Amino acid sequence: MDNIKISASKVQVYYGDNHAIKDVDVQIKDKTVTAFIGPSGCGKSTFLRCLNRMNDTIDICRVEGDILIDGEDIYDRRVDPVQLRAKVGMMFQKPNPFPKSIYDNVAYGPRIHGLARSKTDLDEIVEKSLRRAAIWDEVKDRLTAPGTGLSGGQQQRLCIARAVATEPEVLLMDEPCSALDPIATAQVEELIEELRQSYAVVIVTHSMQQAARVSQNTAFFHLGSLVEYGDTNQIFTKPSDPRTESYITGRIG
Amino acid sequence: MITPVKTSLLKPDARTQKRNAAETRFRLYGLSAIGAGLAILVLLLVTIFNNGLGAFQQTFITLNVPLLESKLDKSGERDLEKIKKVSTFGYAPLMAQAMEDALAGNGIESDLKAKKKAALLSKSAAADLRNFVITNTDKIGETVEFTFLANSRVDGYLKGRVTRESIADDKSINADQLDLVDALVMSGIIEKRFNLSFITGADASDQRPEAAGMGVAMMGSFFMMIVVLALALPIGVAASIYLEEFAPKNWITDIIEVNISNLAAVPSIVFGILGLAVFINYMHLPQSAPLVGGLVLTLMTLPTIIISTRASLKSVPPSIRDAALGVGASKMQSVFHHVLPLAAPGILTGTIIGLAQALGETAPLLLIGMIGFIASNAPDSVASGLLDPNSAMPAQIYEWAKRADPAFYERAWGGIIILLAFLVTMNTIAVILRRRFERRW
Repeated sequence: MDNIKISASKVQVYYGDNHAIKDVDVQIKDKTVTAFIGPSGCGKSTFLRCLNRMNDTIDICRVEGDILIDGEDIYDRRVDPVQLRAKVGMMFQKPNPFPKSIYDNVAYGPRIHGLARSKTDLDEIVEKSLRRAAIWDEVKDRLTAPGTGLSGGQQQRLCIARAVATEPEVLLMDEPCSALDPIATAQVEELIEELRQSYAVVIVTHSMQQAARVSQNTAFFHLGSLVEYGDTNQIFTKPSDPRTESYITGRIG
Repeated sequence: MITPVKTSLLKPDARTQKRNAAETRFRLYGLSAIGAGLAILVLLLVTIFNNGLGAFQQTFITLNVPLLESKLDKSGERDLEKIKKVSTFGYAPLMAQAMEDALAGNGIESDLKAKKKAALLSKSAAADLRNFVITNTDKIGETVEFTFLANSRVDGYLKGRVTRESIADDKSINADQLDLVDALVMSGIIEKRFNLSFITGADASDQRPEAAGMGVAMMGSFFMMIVVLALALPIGVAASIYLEEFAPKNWITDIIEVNISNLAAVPSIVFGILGLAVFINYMHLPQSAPLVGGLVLTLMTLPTIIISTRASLKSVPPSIRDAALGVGASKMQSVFHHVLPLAAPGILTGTIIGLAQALGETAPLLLIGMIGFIASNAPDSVASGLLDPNSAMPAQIYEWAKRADPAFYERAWGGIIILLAFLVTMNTIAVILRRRFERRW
């Protein structure tokens, strides 16, 4: 397969003495939505956070194994996690806009990475990002209003705009819709489909319907191991592992 | 096994009644605890204001003083050097004359000796007049209306502190003089007025409590606060940011953390003796200097600032840090662009409260000698910088409370009012800052 974006092999994660992720091998394709599903505490969020080294901020966390993005080991000594995170954007469960204006929220990434040469450039990036996050029409008249004043769904789309403003190559989403109502969820899901055209999207979700709706590939995690990984349709219709079947039919988790 | 008895909901059963009674009792305990606290606060404030407000009023005697050229400038050259040669003794006859004139002009009869009459004026009166003449040499030869401080006994008599009974053993004043005071009050020559120089003036010697003021001590406290702010804020904030955001969690940081908390509980006099040993005896910094006072108070304030700064850094939700890291900000960018601005109101509040604590601290200042006696305030004062000897407000209050004359006692209470005014202002600023800049997320 030539369009592999992320390739993980034999990944182990330890929190102190707790072996949280065991021997995970996964290949994530570019321009595809990959969903991670599994019961709470199965390690799917932990694994997601390994992909942009967010776990570095946790002192007791230790990662072993290889995670390659475009063939480069992101845990290599020479890799600066800050540079990595500019390339691998991330969104979180709870919408977390900065308590600043809508404009500054989106402009923050481009500013610190020096992506805009002038104020006009920056305005353009902000508008483009907000349009891609399908929120431009709602906020174009109040760009100076605080981002925290928006509704939950709008805030989450603002966070998407903030993430895409730095032109990442991979977008990680940690349960982006768990705090949203069904309408906002539908909007975000539509957006994910759009974003897939340009990025590799990895989404952690608790909703199996959501995984089925938005993703092309699905990985099922259980107790820290990757149980099954494959085409979404196949996972949801003909799971090969009995644990996967139990989970998607609601018998465990 | 107890079989439940069927009861009516309309009538509370015994257990419910007992529970309700217990709750009522507890509420009463709480209310009485709060009541006791408030009563003590009211008692404190009433006492302070009762005893201290008098210090803001002072008794003045207004006289028309003939500034005779023959006494003050015999040569008539208006040469400042020669005028300065006339000591306060040279002014005494002029004041005595002015007193006689005033009595004659108002038809007041008194068979007291001129010296006894002049004794109604403060012992600093002649010096005040001399200073006036030296700065206004053109007035020599004229008769000027001059307002003298009254002697502290006269002041005490008008404020009710000195009575005819209490002066029985007092050599400074007698009943005939008090009769004269009564007459002068009737004719408006002696009156009580607001006393600005209590707030701006310098301390005065034991003989002249009426001339003592807080001004120099205020300058001393001000210089110290500058030192504390300039040192404690950056050091405290830098230490807290490092400990909270960057330091690895291991036993070393644990020990540091525990010791910072311990440091906050160290008695302030320990910091004083440390300052004496290190800053004065070892580093040979000058005694009584606001720089040393400021350094000692910095040591004392640091733990307070570090603890409150860490608390406010901790209260910034981790999602903000995640968000910043998620868009590729470095650790430092996430702290300085996002966490610190959000924690700023808390940090400021902690700093102001730390400063207020430092402002009211006395014990360490006594050990490093921040109780300098400075006889004049800025701009002619020697206490004009960080290295000059100075005093501080709480130390000045302590000084006054120590002195024998009850007139100083009143000034000590007055000083407490000024100090309290500063503390209340600082705390109010802290509250306003917190209200105004508090962010919600």
